[in-house]
Amino acid sequence: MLFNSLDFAIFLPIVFILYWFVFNNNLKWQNALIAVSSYIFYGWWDWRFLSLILFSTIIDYLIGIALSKEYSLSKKKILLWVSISINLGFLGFFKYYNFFLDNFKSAFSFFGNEINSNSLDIILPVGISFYTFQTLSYTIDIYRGKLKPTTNFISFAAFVSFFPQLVAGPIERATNLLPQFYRKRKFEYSQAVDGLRQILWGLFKKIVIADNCAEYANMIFNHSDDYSGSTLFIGAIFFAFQIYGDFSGYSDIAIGTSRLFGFNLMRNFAFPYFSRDIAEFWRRWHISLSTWFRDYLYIPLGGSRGGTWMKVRNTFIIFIVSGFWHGANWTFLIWGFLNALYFLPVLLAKRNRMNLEVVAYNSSLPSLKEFFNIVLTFALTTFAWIFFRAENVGHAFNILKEIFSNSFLKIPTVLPFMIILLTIFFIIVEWLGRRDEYAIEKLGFKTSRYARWGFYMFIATLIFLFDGKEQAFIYFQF
Amino acid sequence: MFLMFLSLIAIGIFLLADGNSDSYYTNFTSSKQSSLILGTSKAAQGLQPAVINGVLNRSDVNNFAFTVAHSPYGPVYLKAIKKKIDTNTKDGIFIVTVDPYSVSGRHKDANDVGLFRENDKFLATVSSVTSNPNFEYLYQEYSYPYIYILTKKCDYIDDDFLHPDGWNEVNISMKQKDFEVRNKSKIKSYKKLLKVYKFSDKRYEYFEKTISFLKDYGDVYIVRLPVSTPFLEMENSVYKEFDNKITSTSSKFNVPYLDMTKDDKEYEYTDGNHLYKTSGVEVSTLIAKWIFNHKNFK
Repeated sequence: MLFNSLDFAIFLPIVFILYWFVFNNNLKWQNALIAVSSYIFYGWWDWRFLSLILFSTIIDYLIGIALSKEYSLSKKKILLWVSISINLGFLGFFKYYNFFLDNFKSAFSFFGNEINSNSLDIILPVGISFYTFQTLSYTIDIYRGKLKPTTNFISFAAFVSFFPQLVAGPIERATNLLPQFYRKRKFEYSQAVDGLRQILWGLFKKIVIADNCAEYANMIFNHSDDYSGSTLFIGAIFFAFQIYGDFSGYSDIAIGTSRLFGFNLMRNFAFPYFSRDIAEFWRRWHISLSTWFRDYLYIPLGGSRGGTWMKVRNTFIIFIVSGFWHGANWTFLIWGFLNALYFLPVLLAKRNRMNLEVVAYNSSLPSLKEFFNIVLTFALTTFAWIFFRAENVGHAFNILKEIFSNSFLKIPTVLPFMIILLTIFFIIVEWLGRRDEYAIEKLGFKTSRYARWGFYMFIATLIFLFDGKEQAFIYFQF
Repeated sequence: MFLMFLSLIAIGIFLLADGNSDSYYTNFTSSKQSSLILGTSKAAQGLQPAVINGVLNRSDVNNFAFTVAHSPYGPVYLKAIKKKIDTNTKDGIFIVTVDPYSVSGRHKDANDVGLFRENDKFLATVSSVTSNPNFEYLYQEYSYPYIYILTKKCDYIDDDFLHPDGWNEVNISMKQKDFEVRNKSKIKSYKKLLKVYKFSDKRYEYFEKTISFLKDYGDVYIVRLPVSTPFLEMENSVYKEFDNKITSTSSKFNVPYLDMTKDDKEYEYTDGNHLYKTSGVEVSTLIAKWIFNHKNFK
């Protein structure tokens, strides 16, 4: 079920009413309702894969309990590896089987040996990378003694399948989300209104910005041979806004929806395109995944504590694995590699924690230096997005070749005035709200109530006017 | 209040939708019809009801053709035709255009009705083809952002207009250079399609069912529209026995068949496959005169 669909517009109020008006006094029933609703939400797409989620849930639930009862470290380790192997095994099969097979075949045929084996026609279960990482965090945290296992299966099932964030995050830690299922939730009007406000902004990002930029990004990337370097450059910028609007829009809707049910999810985006260096960008982009890799991969590998070689090795590992997490394609690996290349000089020069504060926190505009750094970081990021978006590595290089040719000086042939205007409006609103959790959280609070509601209506009208064909969220495929 | 405001805006904008909005909308808003032109985009763009009506001295011919994706012959199109037709009609005229694509499928099993690609498209999903305004179509199947309903109205250089009689007028540059770009890209895409298109007995069965159904309401005329030589060669390669097959259907149902592909060089095409509007006038006139002669000698 898509957030931007009629199905969800009907589903959400039904669940909301049942949750607050029918099962209000019973936590167990509320949790059961969340679990059942989440399975319906997921099954709407393909009910066959519900068995996968259920299987992962049962395995991790049992392993969690077993881990807490086991005192032998070696046996604990075995249990942990069982959980990791099963979870990553599913992920590996559904997401990476064909990639490895095809690459093995290519490698063998390069040396003159042909392997006769066919790729499988595998459908990738939506959101598998997200819920796999979420359940992994549960068993790892129990193993580390950071979390006590739950004995309440319903709560655990609801935690694993929690519908607002099931298919595209934020990837929640058990330490944050699971305890919320144990506590009685109280309906708070202000929290619900805030949730709705965040949903509104998420829908704007997705429907108005992402989907409309997608139309032009797709047109340019899909027919890249027909366009000049300048138009391809515009296409890359459209894609940068498409992916940001799409993914952060999803996160906003997920967080806002959770608030309607009395849950607080972690923040996933913090205005990443206003970052002044690549380290800041990675603190602000897909925060739940970056911190997941930091806590469960980078730090266990030694993090930045070792010598220079270890820093270099770990940085490359984390970024390349992150690229690979996005998909089984060399383009994602190169995207990860490029980001490691960007990040490394900042890390080695110990300048990775230079920009911790929000840019221009005490002023309305950035300084010239800050502005230059923002533009540079955005340009580097967009350069890497070209690999992320391209069909294959050759396609990405062809695009780059054209961008870095004389045709970059030609007047772009695709310049949709309306979409550019909307994107500028979007950037301005994001800039004005950059100090808050999301752009319109407190925007207009100092003006009259009518002006603020007028603004919300304006946003809602834009969402309606620019709503085209229902488009799936990009991150569903990951 | 918030939802009421939004609903009012939505209704206001939906009420403004017309032939500028997209290439199909007014086909879903016009009333029940007594005479129809059927087929795919070649008929939608090439055949002009106003010209045909002029020659035949009537006013009821309406173009109800869409695209090869939406209206190849099959259960979906036939059901839509049944909804569109005024069942009180006795002397209607039905120009049923056909080519190998409109009776072919793209799946391994071209006869599996469940896999027909129009099954999830607007003729299948929109319940009414005669509601004005058609909110169901606009909500469910309008494929542009709704702002286009407003902006396309003001777009005087718009290249696409759907007339109230169903003719989809396409105004694009016919300069040799522009034509070549379109032609090249169309040939490329059709060559790809050729690899997957297969003649479908099931679709053909529905083509015949359509003829049989329409015969109860008037006279049926089968027409194969002209296309440029490369496209004709591609069409023929989909099903080599196509003309013989149509000729036999024509005799079986006792309906006349006009094959216009032999005069393909006489006409101008926007992309090699679709008639340009000036040639559309010529072709429409020829078809109307052919019908006129048939009616008089009947």
